[in-house]
Amino acid sequence: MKLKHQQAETLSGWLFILPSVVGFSILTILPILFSMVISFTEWNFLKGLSGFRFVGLGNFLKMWSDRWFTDSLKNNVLFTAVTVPFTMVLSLLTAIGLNRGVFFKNPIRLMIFMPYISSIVAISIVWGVLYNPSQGPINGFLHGIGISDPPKWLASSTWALPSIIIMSIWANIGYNMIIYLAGLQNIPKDLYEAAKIDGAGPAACFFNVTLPMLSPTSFFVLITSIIHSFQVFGAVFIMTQGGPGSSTSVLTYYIYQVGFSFYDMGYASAMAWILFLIILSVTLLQWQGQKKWVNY
Amino acid sequence: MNYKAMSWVLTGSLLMAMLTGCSGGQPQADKGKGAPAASPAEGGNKPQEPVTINFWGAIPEESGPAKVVENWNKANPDIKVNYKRFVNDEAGNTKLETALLANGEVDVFISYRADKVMKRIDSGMAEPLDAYIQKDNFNVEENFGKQSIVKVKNQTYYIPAIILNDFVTLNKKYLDDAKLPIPKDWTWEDYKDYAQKLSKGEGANKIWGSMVGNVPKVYEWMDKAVKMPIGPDAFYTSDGKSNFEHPAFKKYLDDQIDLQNKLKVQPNFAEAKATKMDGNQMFLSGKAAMFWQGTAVLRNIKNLKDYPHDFVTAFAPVPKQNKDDKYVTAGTGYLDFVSINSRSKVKDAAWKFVKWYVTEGNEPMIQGGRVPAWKKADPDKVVSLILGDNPEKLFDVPSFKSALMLDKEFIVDTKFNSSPEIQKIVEEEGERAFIGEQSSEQAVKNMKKRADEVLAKNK
Repeated sequence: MKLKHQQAETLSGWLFILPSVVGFSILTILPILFSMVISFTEWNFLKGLSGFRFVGLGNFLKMWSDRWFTDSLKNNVLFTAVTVPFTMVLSLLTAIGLNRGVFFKNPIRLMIFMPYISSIVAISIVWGVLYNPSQGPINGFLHGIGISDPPKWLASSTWALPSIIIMSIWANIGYNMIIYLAGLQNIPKDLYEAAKIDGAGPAACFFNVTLPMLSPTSFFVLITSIIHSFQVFGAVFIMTQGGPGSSTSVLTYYIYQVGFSFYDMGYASAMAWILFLIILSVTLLQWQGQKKWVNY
Repeated sequence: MNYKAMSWVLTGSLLMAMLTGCSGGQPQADKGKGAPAASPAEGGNKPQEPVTINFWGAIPEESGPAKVVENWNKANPDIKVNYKRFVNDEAGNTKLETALLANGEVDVFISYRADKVMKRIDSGMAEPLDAYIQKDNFNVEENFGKQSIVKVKNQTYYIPAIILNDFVTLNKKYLDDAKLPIPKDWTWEDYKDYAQKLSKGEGANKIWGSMVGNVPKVYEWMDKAVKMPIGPDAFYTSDGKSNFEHPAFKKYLDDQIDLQNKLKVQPNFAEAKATKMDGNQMFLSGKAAMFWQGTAVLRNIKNLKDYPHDFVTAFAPVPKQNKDDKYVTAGTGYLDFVSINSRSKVKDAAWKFVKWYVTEGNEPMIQGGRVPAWKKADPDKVVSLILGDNPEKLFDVPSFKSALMLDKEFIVDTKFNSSPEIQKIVEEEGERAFIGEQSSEQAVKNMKKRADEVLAKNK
């Protein structure tokens, strides 16, 4: 009787998740497996299923001599290396600021969170106007404070990627700040009291209580930010289309182009798998590394 | 017991929801398909049930297609046509192509770029039309002209519905103010001179002498400009390499750099791109005196609601690079390539519709500025349909008529090897030349080197 009850429970459990299991398998798992298969072929998807030609590791080998791929990969790494630390530090600082009593706490929190819930398309268009080299407010301000030759932002190979980085940092602070705020509120007050009794100043409190207690939060933020930043697409697509030259091309954007404007699905899938492997190995490395600095 | 009963009720209702969810989704997914409605009719058992043809094009319904479909459905109760619009950008074309692969989604479709239609033919998406043409004794050459169709393996896969015109529009008021005549035959040197004389003011109130394209693109306009000195297949040499060593390419970049950066009479490329500057808006609000765009601007000139303006628009051909350039028509050429999906189940009916659409059926499209490719359309009627009710208020009619170039031979490309990659290369290197990060000479050198590499790889 007991076993039967358990079986029934298992069955109903599966039935409950069945819709999402079916949806997930058909819409996510199958395509992923399929992309694995086509990454070893040359496939023009316009030809339908008859257009396959098996090329072995060809796609995986040719990408390293493809300038568009290597440039995009470099841009990706640079983007992540700058965006993630800046976003983390800034969102931690705003979270700490807001966690203390400040005036207009709620409106300020809302303002900082707003970009995260806005459409990336809208944000990109607005920032495109802000960055306008001759009539935009940013350069207007820089001129105003006496800089005679301000950067041309999106219109320059050197500044286009930093422009997108700055925007992305701004757009991502809100979300991470909320996570940090939650983390901060979970730190027991007694720890600070005990530290103060032991004679710790604010700096010592921050480095010896706040930071270690926040380390699981930081770990979460770090992992999600890195994954997220490797997948940057919207901003590039709207603001620069990878230009000027290939100075802002990133892997997701190039994969999209190869798939849908060069019609080379095999190559696009191969690059997508490389991107996946990069993200996977970075994440695994962090799981290894977390033992050294994360306290639970 | 109670618990068990409840769990069964729950799973039961969940299953029900799933089942109804599935069955609810089914008809909706089928809505777009012609097949279910069509197959019984094809069998001939139920003649009262009309065949449905799904017809895909990129022109907004209200700019002609709705009327086309209405006309057809009224005259042909046995064949019902549904129009479905896709947006003619990368994503929209992908949507069309995916739909072409699905059975019954698309029966008749229009391609708006020669390289796209060739790619689709090459992939077996278009049905050869020769058998139908022969059966109906439809004389393509007589109806559309000798060069109207680029055959692939000696087969016809599309029929062009329109001629897309390429011309420069000019603000007649500004021309008169500067005492300049409407140019009839000019070079880029003349163009620069005009642009300089027509530019006025500074900062936000500046009137630009020149504006190229509705969105800033390098390849698209370079492609049209270099056709004048070189002719068809300008980007390729006869031995399968790229043709960027031809001086026309560097000259095009130099002319553009002069206009943007040296003379500052045309909005800077990178700025225009970053702010998504719309050429139609610039020209029709009087902020640009000359605008190189072609057919697409015509419907906006007539649209006084979105583009209120009170000046007359004059027309000029695209400038030549050298006085003695052989070709004069630039980007003017056949377009709106109408094909039948090779996977269509109702090809006979589809052909009947296509044949009508590319001839008399096209009339409602003319208003939007689309000159029919059909030779038997009356040119005077075409002009009067394009220009609308009181043409003198908005158009300089004589210069418009000559800009249509209906009596000229067009330049027809037949080679499109690695075209998307070459376009990307031109876009990147050209852009870097426009914003001053490399010289035009360096740019064409890089284009040549990179394009040759791609061509060699994709052979």
